[in-house]
Amino acid sequence: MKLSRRQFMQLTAVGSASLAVPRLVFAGREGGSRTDDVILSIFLRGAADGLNIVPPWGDPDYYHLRPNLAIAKPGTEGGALALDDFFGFHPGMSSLMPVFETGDLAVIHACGSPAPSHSHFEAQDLMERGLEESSSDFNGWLGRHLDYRMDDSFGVFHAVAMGVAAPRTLAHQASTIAMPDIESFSLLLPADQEDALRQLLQELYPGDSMLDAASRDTLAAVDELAAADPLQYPPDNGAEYPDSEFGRQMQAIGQLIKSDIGLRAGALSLGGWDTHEGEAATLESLLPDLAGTLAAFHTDMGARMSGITLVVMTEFGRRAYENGSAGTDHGHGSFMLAMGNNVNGGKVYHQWPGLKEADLYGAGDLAVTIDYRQVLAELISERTAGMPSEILFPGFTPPPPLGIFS
Amino acid sequence: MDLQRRSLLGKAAAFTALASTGTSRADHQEEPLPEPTPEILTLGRCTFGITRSLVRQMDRLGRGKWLDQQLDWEKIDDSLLEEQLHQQTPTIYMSESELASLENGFQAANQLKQATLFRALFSPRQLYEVMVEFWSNHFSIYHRDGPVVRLKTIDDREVIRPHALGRFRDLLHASSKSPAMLLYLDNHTNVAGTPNENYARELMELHTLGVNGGYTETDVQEVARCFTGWAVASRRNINVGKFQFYPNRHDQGGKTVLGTDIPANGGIRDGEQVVDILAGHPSTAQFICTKLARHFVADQPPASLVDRMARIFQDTDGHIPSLLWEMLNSEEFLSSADEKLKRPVEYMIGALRCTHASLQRQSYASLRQYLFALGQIPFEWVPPDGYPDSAGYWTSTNGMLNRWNFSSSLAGLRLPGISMDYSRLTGDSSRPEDIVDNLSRELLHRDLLTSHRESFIAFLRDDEASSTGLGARPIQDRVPALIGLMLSSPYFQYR
Repeated sequence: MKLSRRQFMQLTAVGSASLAVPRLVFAGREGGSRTDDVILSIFLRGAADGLNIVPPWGDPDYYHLRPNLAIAKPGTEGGALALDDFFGFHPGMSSLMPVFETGDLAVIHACGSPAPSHSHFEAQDLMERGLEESSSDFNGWLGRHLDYRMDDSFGVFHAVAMGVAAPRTLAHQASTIAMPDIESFSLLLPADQEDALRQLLQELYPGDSMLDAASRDTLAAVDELAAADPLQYPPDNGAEYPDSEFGRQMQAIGQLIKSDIGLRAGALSLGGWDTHEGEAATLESLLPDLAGTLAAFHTDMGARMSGITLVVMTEFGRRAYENGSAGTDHGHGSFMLAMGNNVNGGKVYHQWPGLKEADLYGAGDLAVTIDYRQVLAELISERTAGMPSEILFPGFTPPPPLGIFS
Repeated sequence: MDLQRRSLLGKAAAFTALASTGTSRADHQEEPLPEPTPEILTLGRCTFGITRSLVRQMDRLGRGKWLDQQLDWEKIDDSLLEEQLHQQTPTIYMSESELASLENGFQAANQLKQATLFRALFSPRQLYEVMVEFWSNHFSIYHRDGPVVRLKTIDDREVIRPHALGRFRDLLHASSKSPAMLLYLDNHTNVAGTPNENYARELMELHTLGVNGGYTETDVQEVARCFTGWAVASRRNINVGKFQFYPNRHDQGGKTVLGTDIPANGGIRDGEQVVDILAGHPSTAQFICTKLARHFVADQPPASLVDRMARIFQDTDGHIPSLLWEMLNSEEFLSSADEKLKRPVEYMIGALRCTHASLQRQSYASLRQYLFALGQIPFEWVPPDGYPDSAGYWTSTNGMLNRWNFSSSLAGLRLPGISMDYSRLTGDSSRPEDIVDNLSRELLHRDLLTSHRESFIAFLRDDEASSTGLGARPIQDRVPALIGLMLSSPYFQYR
């Protein structure tokens, strides 16, 4: 007999009578036999403008608020690419249209953190930790998932950040492998003394301090990377990554996945979204990089996308009305993307709050009607063997699932 | 075995996460490293790297007098270095209009980066250069942002350097009229009627009050109005590249900032008054002193020390030498050995300084390559909060790998344009014990654990090769690798 998800959650909530709503997230299907998806988190740093990246062209107020900056309606010169009869993509997102149309890409709008911060740094930090208020915990939301799932099958490459440092998203008890690229991740020691030197390095970093752990994992990672040799894998299925840092980094993530090195979670950043000034030109150059890279990755991974789920987020959105510098100041609600074979895509998930003055948040921002943690909690619930949501997102009770993942 | 440990840690974390305790992973070292002396600790924190001559200076003067001398920076003769910079990086002395007429703006940017590194490497005004770096990072400006490639040169010369050991209030006033800053944070487009809030927000969040410093979203909007019209003269203007206030773009209405009324028709005085309010605000004192203590004492600075410093800050308009004096003579400072990880610039410059490496012109390319790999090229942190100043960010596999690779390449003379004299470091000795002792004194400036000392000696002797009958090579062959190893060791990772 199979318990329904709802029955199961009711049963497991019995022990905690004080909870009005069941607070446990479990696998969407039978038991714990589900293997976890590789989860990739892409953070758009600088507060990406959901209103111009996924313009609500069906809302006349959008055009009142942004007389110079709004993306025109579909079917006009430079107009939006229709996603449905209300939302569209900025034309710079065109390479993701096929992925959206095949149903592997979902857009979530008026989405973000309820935290009122308009500070990039505070808001990024909170979002990466998955918290509403600051705390002394050091770990990130995806890091907490890794810690919960950690067992002997986890190798040194279970978490990878493409870049010179690991973002907070992945911070957990073990090391995240940080590397800007695969090519240069090797030890340059004199060959005839390498063994002796490596042994001495191990001796010099013997403990459990951060530095010791990073050192030990560095030595292990160099060896495992050399053995797995991910660079032998060219892009498959005719995928062409943009010639950009982000493109190269996503290609490298793909190579790590193909090399079966044990990747469970990855985090990448794409910056430059703080469009206080000259926003149109900035988005025209950033969006093809974002969209082209994600589309190439989707093509490159092919059937592997059934075991990979990727999410895109940003710390907050931009002010609903444009400023005097052909840009937008800091706002609140923005958008998210979810990509994978098990994403119920081809759809914009939203509870559109509207853009009339009374509908706006604070100084004139798009309101947040979908908490980003709801999306992520659903992702962990549906695409991994699951974990208690109060560990994943302390202090947050996920509303009923939106059905973004299956 | 490694996996077992990780797995245990992982399980433990799942349970402790609920309790919201613990700020970082357990800080367990098998056997603590012998601590540096207070003099070495002071040199480590107040310079870009300890050299033989600095140690002698410190011995001669004692800590108090050495600090006095460094704080009185203008009296320290740096004319030799400046003479060299005049020849090698002439654009750092150029006026706004000269910079504007440079065919390639990146020439100015590259020369400023080089000059910055060379000053850190060679200036006798070491504490001053440490503070220049501190303030450059506090008032961080991304070097590749349009006209900033030229104008950061002016910001460095006329904003940061004159006030690095002056008063915070003066520094803040200067920064608020820095063309590079105004351009970077878009204030040149902040005009009456359609304000741009970027500078106003970061001025409060990052430069003065801190994110929890007590300002509201309305304050951000009001401060933005106060700074309308603060811009930079354009190419058509004779004052090209200089600060310019445009009265016709200024919002002349009355404003309220942090509870203070700013009457209508104040003109440029509005913004200046905001700077004064912010410079004297208790949150600013707390915020700046926390950052100073984080830089010099510990990633989590002791509140007792920060509070004492904040009082001095408020009593002295932020007199920076007084703050440093209080901090560097505090108990909290003296008991903070190994609390501060060297960031990449400090690590690399420190290695070059203690090895007395000599640098040819082409060395800059090698340095730049590793600064890039380690993620700390001067002035290239993109967002306005500056490079992180705590170990959590810089401790990574990429960080360790590139530190080791840099040190190994440096010591093995595999970086083009950089050389060193091994015999000067080994004392020209041939006894392995003496070589290890001399090298650790020259490079690490602290005692070694007996077990480490013995391992280093064994490495020099090539015990393994001897025991397997391969026959040991001359000890001198192993000196470069041992230098690289010492610089790769935990003894050299902390300031």
